[in-house]
Amino acid sequence: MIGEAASAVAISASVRSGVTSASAVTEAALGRIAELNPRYNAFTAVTAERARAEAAAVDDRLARGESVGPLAGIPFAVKNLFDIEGLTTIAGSRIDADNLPATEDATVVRRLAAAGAVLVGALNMSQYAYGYTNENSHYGSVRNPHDPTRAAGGSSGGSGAAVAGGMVPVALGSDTNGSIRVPSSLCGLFGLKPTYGRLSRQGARLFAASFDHVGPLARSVTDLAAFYDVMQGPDPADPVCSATTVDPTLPVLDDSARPLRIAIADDYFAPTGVDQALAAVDHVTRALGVSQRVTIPEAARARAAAILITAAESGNLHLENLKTRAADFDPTIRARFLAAALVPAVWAVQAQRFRRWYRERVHEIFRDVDIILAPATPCSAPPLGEEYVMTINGVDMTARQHLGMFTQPLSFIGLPVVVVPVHAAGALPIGVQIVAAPWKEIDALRIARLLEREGVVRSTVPAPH
Amino acid sequence: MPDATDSNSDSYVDVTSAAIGLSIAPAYRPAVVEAFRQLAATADLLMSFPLPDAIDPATVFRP
Repeated sequence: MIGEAASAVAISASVRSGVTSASAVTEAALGRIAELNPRYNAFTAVTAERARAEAAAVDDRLARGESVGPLAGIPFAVKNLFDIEGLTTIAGSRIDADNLPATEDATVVRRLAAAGAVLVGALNMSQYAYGYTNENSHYGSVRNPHDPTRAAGGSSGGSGAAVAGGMVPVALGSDTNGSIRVPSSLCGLFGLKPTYGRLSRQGARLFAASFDHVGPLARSVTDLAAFYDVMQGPDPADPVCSATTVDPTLPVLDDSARPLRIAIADDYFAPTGVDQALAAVDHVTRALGVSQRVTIPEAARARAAAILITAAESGNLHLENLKTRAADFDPTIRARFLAAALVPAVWAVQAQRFRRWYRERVHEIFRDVDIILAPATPCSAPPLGEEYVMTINGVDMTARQHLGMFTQPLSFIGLPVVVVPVHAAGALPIGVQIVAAPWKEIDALRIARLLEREGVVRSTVPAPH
Repeated sequence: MPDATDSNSDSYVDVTSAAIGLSIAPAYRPAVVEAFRQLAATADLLMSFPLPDAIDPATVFRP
């Protein structure tokens, strides 16, 4: 029996050993989506016909004694900014709903399908990936399975809710300033934002090209690694994809993580007013026996620069729509998008120069440490439909604009990050960022796996609300 | 350039939007001015940090 909390690798093992079939797993997933999606609003399209055909193909190969891929029969879904052949890529926007259907899958979707994974649908998101709460006036707000009155986080909120709600074991999201890590934190999931340039973005709608990443969200580290490994590899179709090798992580995930030098980010990453976030970091650091602290210099300026580059690039990208269809931008982001189009070049170029300076400083830190621990979000899931305000270092900050305050200074220079979920009894989950040096995803994954194995972090599927 | 305390954020929004052909509906304008004022405050933080001339922008293009 494959239940809603089954891991992806367990599903694949059951399918390959004949305990169950890919078709039975797919029907169960489609049944759960039909039952649960009205509660959480995670899916904007269910690709049932494709899923049944892909599952049948896996079962046919197994019946003929042929080999199947490492992800055989695992249901997965993708944020609706990834191209899915035959489906219009809406990117959370009714403007894009007028576009023609995609003629082929995005590179990473194609690689997952080739490995036997079964695509069951496309997932809700903030319009054009702009927003941390996934409130979307076109397709409805995504609701958090741990408390449906609260946000699932954004912009990959549908990805968070689909996995946390037990509809799929793994989903793909994208992360420009925190859009994988924020929903992972709020939904109590493991999430991987790889090194900038590691995974191909071909066929994924851009937002701010200087920072756009894609990656998986899952309920276990093993599942993250299994999907991440299959998606790796060079892709000439994405000019930013600079990976030249595949560095498999799954086979070495359980190798000892103990020799890694770990430090806790202080200063900017430890302000007042974020008690639950810092308690989660403390929970993880105590388990790891870590006390060394490290200061990432000028993190506030790094965030400022990330905001300005994001504005300049997204304002440019959407200028034509802003000119002709401003009314079709979500009210929560319309003014910010319009203002973004007005950012002067001197700010954007200075931000890119600062990015170079900051990269050098952070690389100096990684000479002495391998892993930096930091909170993922300043709070757990905020209520939907209101301007939730946090007071951080004495300053009022809205969740809509500031849920990414701890994620932005890290994606700004493309560092790989794994979010791990801390879920204290009686509280909503909240994440901790495990940050590694560029191209060292394996270091962050090993620490995450160690914490998971020792029961320090965990992801659970709540009973349906 | 306007800064966070510059009431000219108002006129900057008008002049620049006209220059790039972006017509902003009167109903949206106050929120856009406020959003731009926030960006200007963000830019103040960045622009007040001295950078050596030798620092390359982080954008790389490989022909």
